[in-house]
Order: sequence, then C-alpha cells, then structure tokens
Amino acid sequence: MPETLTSSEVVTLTINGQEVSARTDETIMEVAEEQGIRIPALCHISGLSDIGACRLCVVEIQGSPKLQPACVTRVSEGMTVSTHTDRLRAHRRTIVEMLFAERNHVCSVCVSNGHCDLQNLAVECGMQEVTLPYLAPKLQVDASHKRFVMDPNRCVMCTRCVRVCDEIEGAHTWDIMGRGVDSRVITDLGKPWGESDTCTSCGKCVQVCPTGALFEKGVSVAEMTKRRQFLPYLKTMREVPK
Amino acid sequence: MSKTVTIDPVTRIEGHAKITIMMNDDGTVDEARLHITQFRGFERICEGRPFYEMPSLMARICGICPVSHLVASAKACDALLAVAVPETGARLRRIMNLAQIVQSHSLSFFHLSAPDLLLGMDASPASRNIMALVSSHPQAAKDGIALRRFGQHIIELLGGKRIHPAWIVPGGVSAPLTQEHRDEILATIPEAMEAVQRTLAWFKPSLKKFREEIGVFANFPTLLMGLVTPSGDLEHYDGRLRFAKPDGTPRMEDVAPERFNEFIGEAVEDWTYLKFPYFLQDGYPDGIYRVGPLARLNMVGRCGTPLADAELEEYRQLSVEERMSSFHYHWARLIEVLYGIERIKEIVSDPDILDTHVRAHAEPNRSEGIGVSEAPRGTLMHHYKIDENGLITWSNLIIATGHNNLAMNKGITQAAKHYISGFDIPEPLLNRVEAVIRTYDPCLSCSTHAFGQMPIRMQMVDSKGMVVKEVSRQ
Amino acid sequence: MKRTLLVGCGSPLREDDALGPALVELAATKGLSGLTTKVVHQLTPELAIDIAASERVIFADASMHREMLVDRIKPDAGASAESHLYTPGALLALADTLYNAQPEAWIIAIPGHSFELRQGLSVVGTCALQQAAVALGNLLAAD
Repeated sequence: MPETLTSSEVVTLTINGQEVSARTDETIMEVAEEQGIRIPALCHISGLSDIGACRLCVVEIQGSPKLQPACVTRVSEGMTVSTHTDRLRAHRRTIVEMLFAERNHVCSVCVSNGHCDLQNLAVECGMQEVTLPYLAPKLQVDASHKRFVMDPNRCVMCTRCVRVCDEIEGAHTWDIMGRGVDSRVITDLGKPWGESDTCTSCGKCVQVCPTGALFEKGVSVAEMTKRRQFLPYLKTMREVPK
Repeated sequence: MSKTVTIDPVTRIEGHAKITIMMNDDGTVDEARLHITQFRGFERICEGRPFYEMPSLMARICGICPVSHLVASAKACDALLAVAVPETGARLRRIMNLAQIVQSHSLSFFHLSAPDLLLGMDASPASRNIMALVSSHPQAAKDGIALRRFGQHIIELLGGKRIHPAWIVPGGVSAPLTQEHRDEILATIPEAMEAVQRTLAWFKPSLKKFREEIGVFANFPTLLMGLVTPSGDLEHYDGRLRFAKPDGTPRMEDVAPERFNEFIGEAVEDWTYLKFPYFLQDGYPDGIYRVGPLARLNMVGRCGTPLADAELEEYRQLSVEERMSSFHYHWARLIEVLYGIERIKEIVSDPDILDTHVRAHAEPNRSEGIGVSEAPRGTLMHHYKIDENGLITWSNLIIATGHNNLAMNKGITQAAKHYISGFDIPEPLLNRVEAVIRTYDPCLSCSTHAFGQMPIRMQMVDSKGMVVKEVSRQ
Repeated sequence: MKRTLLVGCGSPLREDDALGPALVELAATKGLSGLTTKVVHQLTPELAIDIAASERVIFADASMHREMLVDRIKPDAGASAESHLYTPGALLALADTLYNAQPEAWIIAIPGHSFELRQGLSVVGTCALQQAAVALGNLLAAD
C-alpha cells in the first residue's frame, strides 16, 4: 500500500504513451478515469474505499516486474503506465474465468442477466469460455431476510457489500468468513440474514453488489437492475467539513 | 463450385426410442415396453433455488415448447404467492398459451397427418413425405407453414425473440401488451383463419377414404383427462380438472386441478425413467387414462367459439367408437387450431387487453403450490414445495407424455401381439409401433433429453431374459 | 452486400452444440447492414419464409466431424423431413417450391468436440468458432 500523503503535489506521468498531469494523492485508476481510459475492475466502485482485491485493474508500470492494482496505487513523477497490454489482457481474462469457475454462475436463469458487472467484464475481457475446471461448490441460498436474498453461488467476493455497510450505512452487518477459496460473506457472526440484529434493511449492499448474489425478493430472471447513483452522493454529503 | 455435401451437419443429440418385446416360451407376446432411458433430473436441479426462478428454469426443459412449462410453472408460483393474477395478465398468458398450441398443432398436423392424408397411406414411404406433399399440394403446405408462423410470431411479439421467453412471471406477466403489438396480432388473424379453414375444407372430405385405417387405428377404451371450464367447455389455461369415461361423459364431478394428487398416483417401473401416472380409483395399471387434443375434444361440452363449435358439432356426428380412434387426433388438432385463433382474436379485440396492470406482487403465502395447464400434448402439472424463505425444497412435474405412458405401452403391446407369431420381428411391426407412439406425439425431449427424430431400437427377449432378436432403425 | 440470412442452429445448454448460435451472436455484434440473423434450436419449416425473403442464406451448425466445412448447398427435395427435424436442404426446397425463391445457400459446419449438458464451449469448440468466424467473414466479403 502506498503511504498516505497529507499534502499533494502535481506530477507528470505517462499512461499508454500519453503524458498527463495529476496530483500525487490520486490513484492510477482515478487519473485513468479522468483521461477517459477505462480499466476493468470489479471490487472498485466509486464512493467506497478501495482494497485492490479483485486484481482486475492491475496495470504495468515501467521498472516494476510486478503488476500493480490501479485502484490503490498512487501516481508518482515520471511513472510510465500501460493499462491494456497483451499480458494484462490475458491476465484479466484468466481472473474472470477463475471467478466463473469458482462458484456456480448460470446467467440464463439469473436475476441479473443482462445487468451484471461480471457478465460485462467477461465480454470486455474477451472471455469466450471457461477453460478451468468448475469447482461447483454446494452452496446454500440465504432467503431468510424479509426483502432480500443472498445467493453465494453468484458471489465474487468483491466485498462491496461489506464496505458499503460499514462505510456508508455504518451497520457493519456484512463481513468475511474463512480463507481463500473457502471464504464467504456472512451477516453478523454467520447468522441467517433474516435474524441479523444489526441489519437495518437499507438495501445498499444489494444495490452495490455487482452480480445477482444479492437481490430483491420477488424479482424474476433479468429483472434485477441495480441503482448505484446514491453512492457518490452519500459519500460526498458525509465528507462535508464539520 | 459446389459438390454434394454428404455429411449431415445438423448434429443433434439423439435418443433412441427403445422397445423391448417380452416373449412367452410358446412364441406369443407377453408384453411390450417403451423405455425412456435418459434422465434429466430437472426436479433435483431446482432444489434450494428461490421459487421465483422456477418459470425460467422450467422453460429450459424444452426448446420446442418452453411456453407450456412457463405457464404451468408460473401458475404454481401464483399458488405459492396466493395471489389473484390481474385479469389482463391472465388473459395475456392465455394468448401465449394458445399461440403455443396453434403453432405446435400446425407443425404436427403438417408433418404427421397431411402426407398420409393427401398422398395416401399406400404410397411408399419415400414418396409419402413432406417434400412430396410440398410439390403436389403447395397450398396445403403453405397453410401449414403460415399457421405455425402465426403462433410463433405472437409468442415473439409477447415474449421477445428468445428461445426461452421470460415474460411470464409469478403473479402475471412482466410487461403489458403495446397497442402496436396488439394491432400486429390482429392483422395476422385473417390469414391464419383462412389457412385453417382451407385446411379443414380438404381434410374432412378426405376422411372418407380412410375408413379402414380409422378402424385399424381404433384404440382400446381408456379414461380421459383434461382441464374444462366451470361449465364443462374447452379450456387450456385454467378451470377444473375432469376425468371422463371413454365416451366422454364425466366419470366424477370435476375437481379443482390442485387436488390432482387425490386422484392420480404415480407408479415407477425399474425399466424406464418415465413414471406411470394412473387414476387412483381404478388402481395400477387399470387406471389408464389419456390426455391431449383428442381427449379434450371428446370430453368437453363445447369449444365456446362459434366456428370451432360448428366444427365440433360436425366431428360429433361420429359414433363414440369412431371418436376413440387415434386417427382423429388430426381432426382434433385442427379444431383446436381454429379455436385458438378465434379465442386469440376475441381476447385481443377487447380494449382492456392494453391495461398496464398485469402483475401482482406478494410474498409467498403458502408452502406448497400446484400449477396445471393444458400443453399442446395434454395436461401439464407443476407441483412445488418451498421452505419458509421461499426456497424450493421439493418439486414434481407430470408431463403430457407421462400421462399417456400407460396408453403408449398398451398400444405397443397390442401391436406386438397382433403382428408377432414366433421369435421374429416382422417389418410391418416397426411401422405400426412407430405409428402408435407418434399418435401421442410424445415429446421425448421434454420427458428426457432425446432430440430430433425417432430412431427406434427394438429387442425381443425370451422368458429367461435373453435377447433373441434385435432390429433398429435410424 | 446481398440480403443475407444467417441461421445458427443448436442448443446453448449442450456445450459445442451452441457453436452455430455462438457464430451468429458474434456476427450480430458487427452490425453489418443487410445481414439478418436467427438463432434456433432446430430447423423448423416456417424458416422457409425468411429464406425466401433473402438473396443469400448461410446455415451455421455444429458438426461431429473433425474438419470444418464451408460449402454451397442446394435444395434437396428428396430430404426426408421427419418429425420436427428439417435439414437445410429441405428448407431450401420448401422455399423453392412454395415461394419460388432460390437464394444462394451455404453451410458452415463447425466441428464440435463435446456435447455434454453444460453451458459454454469446449476449448476445441472455441478454436473452431474462431475459424468459423474467419470463414464467415470471407463468405460475406465475397460479393
């Protein structure tokens, strides 16, 4: 992680051969966005803190053998960044494939079919098929909540739900349990969602969820469109200086 | 330039209709069995899924008639919600179900009946097919195609150009009918009406030529089952469940379809994946019954639309024995096509059909739901149970081909007994068995996953279970 | 470009059986003017109406053979059209006899590898799809 800077200065860097200037408290992702360069991402969503978990936004930085996540890497003077090399494309495609192989994603009968970030990423990254063996885990749907359903089969562990609940709603109902491929998002300490004491039923987690893992009860196939406009607004309003 | 393509590029995954003939030691037939050897396990796939997903999950049972499963499944979900579907929503579903019946019947008629009827049963198989029909009777062929197109087009207008439309949802339909699409449907009605009336006009006189075949096709008497309106008329979407005697008179008072479990049992045999539903009061296997277009028309009071009722009246001139001939499936399908077009016209002509209140929303209010509708081939039943959170814990489907399973096996046995003497399988038997199975137009891709045409494999087995003879036809 | 109908045939739930539909989807994204596409589970007779309205028709389907095949096809009035299953040749014959239409017709038979109950193409199938896309491009560019 880059160190936190208290004051910022303006630097010049190169993204995809183009010289741009930026503040040192900005991430590569933010600068790229300003320049109209779209870097694929899943755990990143504007309005929430970034954690660099999904690794889809990794970029190449000249002089660094390792790929760096654009969402948590701050820019610096003279940096030369490439966002769409063959190496990166192959890397991203593999990640998306792994996401598909890890759980049970069946687009054709999914509530989010056609409005799904994961589906869009597969298209964007040119994933035609899943070449990795499916893990096909047996996972229980949690439909105990009065208004919402959590289907872990479609979860990609982006933790947007965990962050929005903690950072915006302040309830911290969601959290992570387990490690690696066994990790799951849980409510409270693993209680069924409907029995959670902390959940305020605000539904923000549902709206930020990139897939059909969190959805409103009663929607049918392809009917779950998510509304995310509220997020930057809430974030800004809460940052108004006291 | 072009050379002849010798491969058949249309690869479909196929299943054989496998038939076993069990012989007695004296060279007589004991029993013949139709095996459904593929297993799809859709009931298992659903376990643990939110019930709201069921209609679109179930529609995937079949790429040929997804609409029928959509309707029955959505109705089962309505029952879980315990809501009344808004009237317009219900009528829109009804249109789609009828459109499905029109297009399915048209294809079936065009394929199965027209060549036999127009070219003659005596014509060699090579010259008694669709292609020969197309050259000799182009108008009849065009009408068949136009009718199928009519139904398909309505389904696309309502549900979108997808193989598995997701438009029918628990509580109603997901989008109302637009005026533009309403007008488009209305515009296609006259052509379809002309096509079916032209077809009926040549079909009916042609029946005279087939007295003998109608006699040979005469089947054994069985009970009949299907939906009827509260007043006992033709019904495909809702209504009450009727069990009728072979002559079409009700066997007992019509019941709410949700009560089917009180009257239908399902027997399992270890030699086939397809279960054997039977009428409980008569036990297994005596409780044999049939479903489908012929059963429906033989047991209803009226159709309920003027032109179809006139046709039904003409059909009813036949004696009860004649009406039991499976040959008349063809006629029944044509009358239902006519009925479907008339009914669709009636429904879309009502200005209320453009009402935008087409879906009821609710939480699940019952833990068990049953949806019953009439698919082209007969009564379709979807039965689900959910837990307190709305996740499916159990489901059972009874499809038309299932209802007819006992009758199909009996028909095959009858044919085998008639044609076989000694340990040999004579050629005519294969044709006859195929004709028996075809009469029921079984959609094997629905009961299992067999695609495409009907290759038959027939085995003759002696009393010790040894195969003594085997023939197959691709 | 000639008024072209591209028909992709197959089931998206049976792995490489979806090759035909996959090729059609690929082509549909290109937004070519004059190209109409259709995805079907099986070839059914009413397609003859669409065929009759085209100057050129291309059938794309998975095949069990090793090699990809791109070839001209002709109406086949002798084709048996049993049950619900039509061959491309039979459909062309319908269009010819009933609607007096003789569009130029092609078949692209794409070699499939695995036809299990699964969504998505196999590795071999994906490679074949790329080949087929090239073949289709050549075909479309040929006039």
